[in-house]
Amino acid sequence: MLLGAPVAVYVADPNYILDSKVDRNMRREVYDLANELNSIFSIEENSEISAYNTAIGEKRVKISEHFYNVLSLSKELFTQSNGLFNPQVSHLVDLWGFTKRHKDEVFIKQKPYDRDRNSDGSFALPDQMYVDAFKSLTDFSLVTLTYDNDYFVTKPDQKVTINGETYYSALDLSSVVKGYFCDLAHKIVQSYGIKNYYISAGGSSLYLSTRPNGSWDLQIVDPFSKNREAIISVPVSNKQVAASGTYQNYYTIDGVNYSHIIDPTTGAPTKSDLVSVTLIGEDGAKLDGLSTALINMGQEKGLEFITNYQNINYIFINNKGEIISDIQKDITYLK
Amino acid sequence: MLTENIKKAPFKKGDIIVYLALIILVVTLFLVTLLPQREINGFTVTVGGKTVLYGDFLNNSVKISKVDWVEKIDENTYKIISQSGYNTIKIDWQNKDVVVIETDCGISKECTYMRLKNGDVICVPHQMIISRTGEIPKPVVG
Repeated sequence: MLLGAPVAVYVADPNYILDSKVDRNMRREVYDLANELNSIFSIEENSEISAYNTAIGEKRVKISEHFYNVLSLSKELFTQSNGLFNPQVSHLVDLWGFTKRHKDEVFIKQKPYDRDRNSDGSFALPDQMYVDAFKSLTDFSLVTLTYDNDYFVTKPDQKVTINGETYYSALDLSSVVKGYFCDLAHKIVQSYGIKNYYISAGGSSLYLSTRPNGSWDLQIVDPFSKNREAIISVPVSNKQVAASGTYQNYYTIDGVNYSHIIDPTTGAPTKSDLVSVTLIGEDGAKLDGLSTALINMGQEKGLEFITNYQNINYIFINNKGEIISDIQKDITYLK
Repeated sequence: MLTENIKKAPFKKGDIIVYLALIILVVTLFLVTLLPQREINGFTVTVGGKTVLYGDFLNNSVKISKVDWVEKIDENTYKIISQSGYNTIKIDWQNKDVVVIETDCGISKECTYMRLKNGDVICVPHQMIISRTGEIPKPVVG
């Protein structure tokens, strides 16, 4: 598992022996990587990111190389997307009810801003006072990285006090980590001389190498299907794939859908006309972050933005069910 | 008398051929089990011909394709719901096996005696079949 999502490696080579020593060693190494990334990026008590998030005041924190790499890429994406990719929305994600604790069998209110969970899994809208307060903690540009024989991040002194309780800025890097995992995991698999395979991290980030007879037939989920049926397929080989979608995790109040993707400019779930973005390219972590940013940009700005990236192919699905892509000719419609 | 009969009955040519064929069969079966071979990758559960659940033994994971037809009890146990009733299945990840542990398909409950390791598990009243798969699922994103 990686950040609560299943991780899988599938090998299609007909000469490959499942459960052989090579297979077991490869899988052990891939799962060890997932565990290592969990210990860094999982929002749990003993993780690196948790230590960063609970640090108070301006603080220089020593971090691992993985944490440094992911933060470094995140800063790049933050700048390139004019802040529409922003990992410093952790408090807002929790405020709107999309963190792990909100999915527990029994939801226990722990924070002053928590509301009761309805039987359909939704929550009443939060107090705008908290939305504004947590939005003030999202200036990710103030986070600085340094390398001084080791890796460091300086957490800025960003805080807000509301109803007598003080909150400090906090990070959530889950929108980049699965892609980052795929970048590293495919190198592990390749190092064993394995050729025809694919890796999936939670179904939203994948690395596809080749198949014995050509490309993998990548299936893209219909965002309007309750059963996660595929709507289209496209041939892919030797590429990273990442997808974001408002349909992946949301609840509905008075006919309005509230998704887990927070628009950093409003502090609220995105109101984008894009419901699904799939990107195909070389750098999994980058695709992962960009797919989130593109949802926030919406179709028009998103198209303008992504066409600047020559080595990335895109497939957008908007709220009317229209499919917009630069590889339209390669798409097979399944429905 | 028995001893005398045995002494009197020599090996016939036909007997030698039969014994030889038996030996070859036993040796072949022995070798087949020893040689490295592709084990089953996973399994599918279908109800009325529709796939409701995929199980992946390589990665110890389950994917539910028809959410209204499957109730997850825990990581190893799933209740498959059909129009006529239910079958609760239990997955043994280590031994790559699946069994039906509970059902309301009738008095005989024949499906509870079957194991995936031995072949398809079939519940006729509920039209549920658990089949082994050697195919790798298509990559799905989203």
